[in-house]
Order: sequence, then C-alpha cells, then structure tokens
Amino acid sequence: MSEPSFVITSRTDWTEELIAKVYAEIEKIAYEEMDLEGKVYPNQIEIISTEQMMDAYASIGLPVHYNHWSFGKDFLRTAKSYERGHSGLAYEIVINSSPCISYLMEDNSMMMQALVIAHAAFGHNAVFKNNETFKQWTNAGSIIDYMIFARDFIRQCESRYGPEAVEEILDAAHALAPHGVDKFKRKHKPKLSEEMRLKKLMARDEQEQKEMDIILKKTSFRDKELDHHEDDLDFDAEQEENLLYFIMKNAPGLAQWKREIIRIVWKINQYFYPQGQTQNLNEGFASFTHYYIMTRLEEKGFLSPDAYMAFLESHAGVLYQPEYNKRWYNGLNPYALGFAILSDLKRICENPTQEDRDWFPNIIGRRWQEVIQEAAFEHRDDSFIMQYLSPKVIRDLKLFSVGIVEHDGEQKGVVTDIHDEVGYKQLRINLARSYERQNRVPQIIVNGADLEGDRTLYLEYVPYKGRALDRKSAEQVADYIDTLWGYPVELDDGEPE
Amino acid sequence: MKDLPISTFIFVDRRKTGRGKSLPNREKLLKRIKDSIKAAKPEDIDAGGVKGNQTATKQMANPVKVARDALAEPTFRYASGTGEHEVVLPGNDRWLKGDEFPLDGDGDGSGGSSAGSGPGEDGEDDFVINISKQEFYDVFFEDCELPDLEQTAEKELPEAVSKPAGFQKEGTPGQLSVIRSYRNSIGRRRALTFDDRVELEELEAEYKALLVDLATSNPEQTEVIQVRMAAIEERIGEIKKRINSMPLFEKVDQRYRKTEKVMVKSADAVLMMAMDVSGSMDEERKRLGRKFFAMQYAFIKRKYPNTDLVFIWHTDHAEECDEETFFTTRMNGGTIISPAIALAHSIVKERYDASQTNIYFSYAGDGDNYHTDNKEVMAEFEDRGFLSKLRHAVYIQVGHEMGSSWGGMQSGQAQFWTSMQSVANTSKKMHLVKLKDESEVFAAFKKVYAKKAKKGSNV
Repeated sequence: MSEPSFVITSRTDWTEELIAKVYAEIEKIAYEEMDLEGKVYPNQIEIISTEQMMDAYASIGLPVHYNHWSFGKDFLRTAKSYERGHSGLAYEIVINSSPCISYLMEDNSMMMQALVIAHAAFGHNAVFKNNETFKQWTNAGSIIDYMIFARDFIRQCESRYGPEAVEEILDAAHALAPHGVDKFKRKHKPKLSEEMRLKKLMARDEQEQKEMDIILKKTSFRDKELDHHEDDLDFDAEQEENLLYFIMKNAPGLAQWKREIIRIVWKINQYFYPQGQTQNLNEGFASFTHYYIMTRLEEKGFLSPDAYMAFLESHAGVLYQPEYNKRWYNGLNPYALGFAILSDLKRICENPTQEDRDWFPNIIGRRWQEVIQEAAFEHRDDSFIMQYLSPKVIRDLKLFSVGIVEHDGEQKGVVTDIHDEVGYKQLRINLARSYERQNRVPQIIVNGADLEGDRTLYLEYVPYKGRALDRKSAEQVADYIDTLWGYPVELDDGEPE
Repeated sequence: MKDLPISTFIFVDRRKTGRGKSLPNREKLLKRIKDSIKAAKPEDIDAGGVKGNQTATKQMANPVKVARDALAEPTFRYASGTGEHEVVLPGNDRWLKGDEFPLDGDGDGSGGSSAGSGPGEDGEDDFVINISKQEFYDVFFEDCELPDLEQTAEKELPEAVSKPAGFQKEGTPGQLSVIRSYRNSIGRRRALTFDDRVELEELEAEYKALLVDLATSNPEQTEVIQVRMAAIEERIGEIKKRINSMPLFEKVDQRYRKTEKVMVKSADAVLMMAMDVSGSMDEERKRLGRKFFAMQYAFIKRKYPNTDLVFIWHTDHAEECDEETFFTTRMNGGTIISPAIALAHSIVKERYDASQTNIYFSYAGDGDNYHTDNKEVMAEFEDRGFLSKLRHAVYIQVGHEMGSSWGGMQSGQAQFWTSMQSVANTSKKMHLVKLKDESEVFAAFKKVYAKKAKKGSNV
C-alpha cells in the first residue's frame, strides 16, 4: 500500500484543497465499502460562520425562508443558549435538497470537517435520497426554488397588504402547522410553474377583493382553475385531519393571497414531516456512516492517532446517552439509539450469537451493507425500532418501561418491563409506539362545516389514552382558527364545559 | 500516487455573503415586542401591592410578562398530568417489573409530558426578551409628555449626561466590565469543559462507592480496589488540570461598558402628588390612586429625570412625605381636602418661583369631602392663586360613584366633583379624571399626558 497523500492531525486547519482531498477519500470509502455509489444527491459544501449557523438554525435549516418574528425568537434563543454555554452548536446542518447542502463551520478543525462531510454529505444525504418517507413526501430537486417563491410571494403580500395583515395569517397558520400534514400519498405533480401561478393569483385577487367589498359571497369559495390536482386528495371532509388544508380549501370568503400563504405553510410543514418521523434512523445512519468512514480513514493512514482520538471524543459526546436519573437526562438521544441499533445489525451480520439467530433469522448470513440500508431506507422510526431493536441493545442501554396511569386525578407510575427475557418484546413495542405521531401531537379532526348555514366549523379532539387537551393553548389556537375561518369555530375537546 | 476518483462537489465559501440573514426576523421580533408593550393592557401593569422597601417603579410593570404573551406560539397539546403514558427510559439501575415508580424527584419527570411537548413552556422565553426596564419605559411612555413644559430662561442650555447603554465587544481598558466579561468566561468554559465535568462527576461517584467497598473488602479485593482508586485519582488530577488550564479570559469574553451621551432638558419642573389616605379610601380606591401615581412617577423619572417630586398625603390634615410613605401608608380618620391643597400651595410659595418653574399638581381621592370644605378647596385654587402658578392640574376621582342622591341631596362625592368641574370650566389647566376600575388607569393616564400634535408639524 502506498503512503497516504496527506495526514490530518488533531491540529490540522482546514483548507479548501485539503477538503477536496478528504472528500475524495471519504467518497471512495462510501462508494466502495458502504455500497453508497449512486445513492447520494450531488453535494454542495458551504463554509459558514458561527453567526450564520445560528441564522440557519433560526430558519429551521433552510437556506431561504420567508421572514417571521418567530424565527428571530429562535435565533435569539439559540444565540443566548450558545453564549451561556448551555449548548454547543450541533456541528452540522444539512438540507434535504439536490444538490444536498451541508454546512461546515469556519471554526472547525480539519478533522471535524471530515466528520461532518461523512455524517451529513454522505450519511444524511443517502437517507434523504433513498428513504421511502422522504421519497414519498419531499421533492429535493425543487425545495429551494419553492422557498424562493414562498419568500418572494410573502414579501409581495407584505408590500401590498401590509406586514401586519401578513403576520396575522402567518401566526395563525403556524399555530396549525402540526395539523397541516397529509398522511396519504398525493396523486399528481404540480402542473403550473410557481411563477405562473403567482401571476394568476395576484391578478385574480385584485378582482376578488373588489367583489368581496360589495357582496358577501353566498357559496363557499372554490377556485377550479387554481386548485391543483396535487391538492386534491382523497379526503373526506367529515374526517379531515389536515386542518390547514381544509381551511385553505373551504374557508368562506378568505382572500386568495391568504389561502396561498396557508398553502405555503402547509407545504413547508409537509416537507419537514419526514424528518420528524425518521429522527432515529436518520441520525443513526449518519452516525454509523461517519463512524465507519472516520475509522477507515484512520486505518488508511489519513488520520493521525491523535486526530482519531479527538474524533472519538466528539463522537462519544454526540452519542452520549445520560441515564434516566441524571440531571441532564432529556429523553432518548436519537443519535445514540439509532447508532446502537445499526451497529448491532452489523455485528449480527458478522458475528451472530444464538440469540441473534432466534430473533433475526432473516438477517443472518446477509451482507451488513444491505441490511443496514434496508433498515435506514425502508422504515420510519416506529417500524425501524419495531423490527430492528435487538435484545443486546436493550441490555446495553438498560432500557425499562414505565406505565403511567391516571387514578383519581393523580398519576401513578409502575415499572412494566425491564431488560430481561420476559421484557424484550414488550419494551420494543412500547418504544416503537412512543414514536407514533399521536403520542406527541393530539389529533384534531374536522367534524363538518356548516357551509350552507351559519358556516360554523366543527372541530373535534380524538381522545387518546385518556389524555385531556390542554385548555389554555387550545383556546389560543382556536382564536387563530377564527382568524382564518372568519366564522364561528367550535372545538369539542371531549370534556364537559 | 494513486488515482483519486474525480469527485464532483460544489464548494462555496459563504462567509462573505449571506450574512445577517435573520436580521429582518429579529427586527420583526423587536417590533412585535414594542407593539405589545404599547398595547399593554392595564392588568399587565402591576402597581398594586407596593410593599416593603420596593419602590413603585419596581412594581409597576412586568415587561417580561407582556412580551411573553405576545411571543407565545400556541399549538394544540396534551394537558400534562392526564391520561396514560408508556415511557421507555435508559439506565435501569434498580427497578424490577412491578415496582412502583415515583413520578417526581428521583423519577425522570417525563411522566407528565409526552415527548412532543417540548418548547413553549412558561419561562422559557424569559431570556429571549432581554429588553431592559429602560427600553420598556421608553416605549411605554413614548407618546406621553408633560403638557406645556416651558424652557426657563436660565437653563436653556441642555446638558449632556453620560448614561450606561449596555455593553459592547470593544472598548478602552477603562470601560472593561469585569462582571460581564467574567460571566461570558464562565459560559465559554462551561461549554468547553462539559465532557470533562461529566466524567469528573462520574469518577467522583465511583470513588465514593469504592471507599465504601474498601471498608468491607477482603485483602484480595482491597488490592484491586486500591489500584482502581489510584487510577481514578490520577484521572481526576488530569481532568482537573485540564479544566483549570482553560484560560480564564479570552478575547471573546471581553465586554466593555457602553455609554451614551443623552441630552437632558433641564427645564425646572416639579410634580406634586397628593392623595387621600383616610378611612373612606378603601383598599380598592387606594390601589387605583396609587396605580395612577405609580405610572406618573415612572413616567416623570424616565422622561424628566431632573424633575422635583413632592408627595403629600392627607386625611383631615395633610403632611408632606417621602415616596416610600406615600405609596405605602394607611391611615384612619375623616376627610378634609383643603389642607392638602393649601400645603401644596405653601410648598410652592416656599420653594419655587412659578415664573421660573414648571409646576404640576395631581390629586387623587374619592372626593367624599367634608361638605363645607369644598369652598375652601376652590378658594385655594382660584382666589388664592394656586392654579395660576400651575402648568397643569389633575383631579382623579377613584372608586365607584356613590349614590347620586341621598335624601334629595347630592352625595359629598358628587358635590366635590361639581366644584372641581366649575374650576375646570374657568381654566383649561384643570383636568378631571374618573377611575372606577383598574382597566381604566392606563387609558386615563394616556389621555392626561398624551403628546399634543405640534402646530406646523404634519404628522
């Protein structure tokens, strides 16, 4: 074997030239040893400052975004927390776009840049491109263009209708964002370009507004021409869960530009929906990828031992999982859990025990590359955990399950399962279920709208595990829905007044 | 050299361009905070419960609360502490199936809230809203001014005063704020030594446990334990050394005091506040009066720092007092208003030259005056010339109105109001305000001190 053409130590600073060399070596390992050739979007690597990283956080990671005060609030929160040393900035942001954009912070050492490239530009990138949930819900090729359209459209609305009017709609739509998600596949791709749509829309709105001043329209608003086929889901108005969509389509007498803003919030939210559904497998795969690649770089002599030690330190920091009774325990760390599951899959492929043979007969004897990609590309967190969480990982993490029940208005906890023979199966089920969306976001459905009569919109909370809806926040959100709907809104939270 | 595959990735150095991308967002945030403060509802402004050594301004308003409400981002969420949950936790150290698991204290605390209910908890936004009291009052009183304030001959030259205006990253050594810099240094060092401190804590815990084991160990175990303890000691030493070798100050920590030259109008002005604290003034009425005065006090302190303040309380007699007493005192006794007016007038005569000083007077009470005294009050204002020495006078009637008639007679309150009205009818300087409810205080205040559009200005 020839001498490595470069060596990175823990003190090596990055240069553009060195990044290109490391990138080439990382790519070689990813393609030749991890079977990732043809499975990543083209990469765009951007060097940014700390402040720009905070900017990126504040606009939920997108390089282009419309302006809203809540992003300013996010920025300040991130900045303050960083200044006070409460949190280091996570060292990477990567965008599900094609080309796939990964940010490198200027202050990072060369070793860190290599780590981020492996983690983001190959790990996350491959999940974005291949995972079923992402394939179904996001269009990496057009997101940046769409965001440019969204930003420009909202700017135009601000100058035309005033920033306050725009903010009012955005505030309201943001409050409903968690309820602006389709769970069923859409049928068609958009037909008109955004630009064309925009032109038609603005022209139409002018006319619309004039008419609105004169008469209150008698029928609910339906715009055949501007309605996209892509929006026409098989939806049952009686049980619609996508409140943003329902309001956008059916709110009586809502100006067209306001509908478009609601649509934008819905679209962006929909774009992020897969990220929430795949955190463990996504971070797990990215961490698995960086760990494999960095280890190989060291073995090939591109990383000095001290650089590799520095890498391991960072790696351990990111994957740190505090125990439940530690002060800084803040839930299961998706990096740690995802990495543990995938690493164990590799072990099961390579050195199976009898236990593994009993639990994973379909995996034994297969190539780890194939199994790991199947786990990371064909699942969401709940099914990923359900299918691949092994007894060994349960033992290593010493997982246990606590059932909390309400009794006479008080909650009681009982340990339901621990990491033993009897417990593995149920623990796996419990953990998988905890990633179900309804466990995190209460389900609110449209229970009809009296479009012919007084136009009252009826909403209903679908009870889940005996949990009550938080009344104060529900009332605040209901006020926002009023703003959009324009007529009475009734929310049945399943409890007596 | 081996051949590398020609890798195709796009490299962009973004540092020079695309800076300050979230600036418009922060501007929008600031505007929202300011708007919310301006629109602050009276219930957000807390002047009640002025207690102990706290001054009125400290109690007056809660900018954090005002802004927090405006910055809330509500979404539908589950009420904490309701329903069933199944939580999977890592790091089982002692639990067996069937054990009762405490949901507070030693537990994980995740019991009540489901995993998704992260942000938006109360208190979280407090650190976001970092506007100071000063800024708060700037906004709050932006549209208010002392009416008809005139520059007096001798003091036309405005004075420039240096005032603290936050901190900046650069400055002269003399401006270095040690406390602020040290705080930043703590933050930086905490962030950079986090992993070390975690390890340290774990090692120390292990060391303690080993000490216990040592007491009950046999010789063979003792040796093993001692070896481990020595290793821990060494490691602890290393970590501590590393933590301690972290430089105490770096350039990024340094903060310098920033000062601003502020032009102060040094027009001579005095604001006199008088209030009825007699038995008929129940808690509710006193609170209304104090709330108005608290706002007035904060306003004057903020906008006209050179203004003299005079405080007077009265029952059937009147006394001058300090602000502390004024905002906290409770008395019993009947009500005679004229002594308060007379005392105010005599203070003016003793201390101020009305031709050189802008004098403002406000009085708050329930108006339930001893009936023959109304004439005295009017005489003090009009015949004895108190009103002529004033720029502006306000009578604030507090509390719900008493029955409009009693045995065919006007109530004492109504009679006093009529007397004040007759004063107001002959002089534009006298302003009358009725406060029945706390919700009216802010609007009433704004009405009295609203900036008048200047002639010739095209606002």
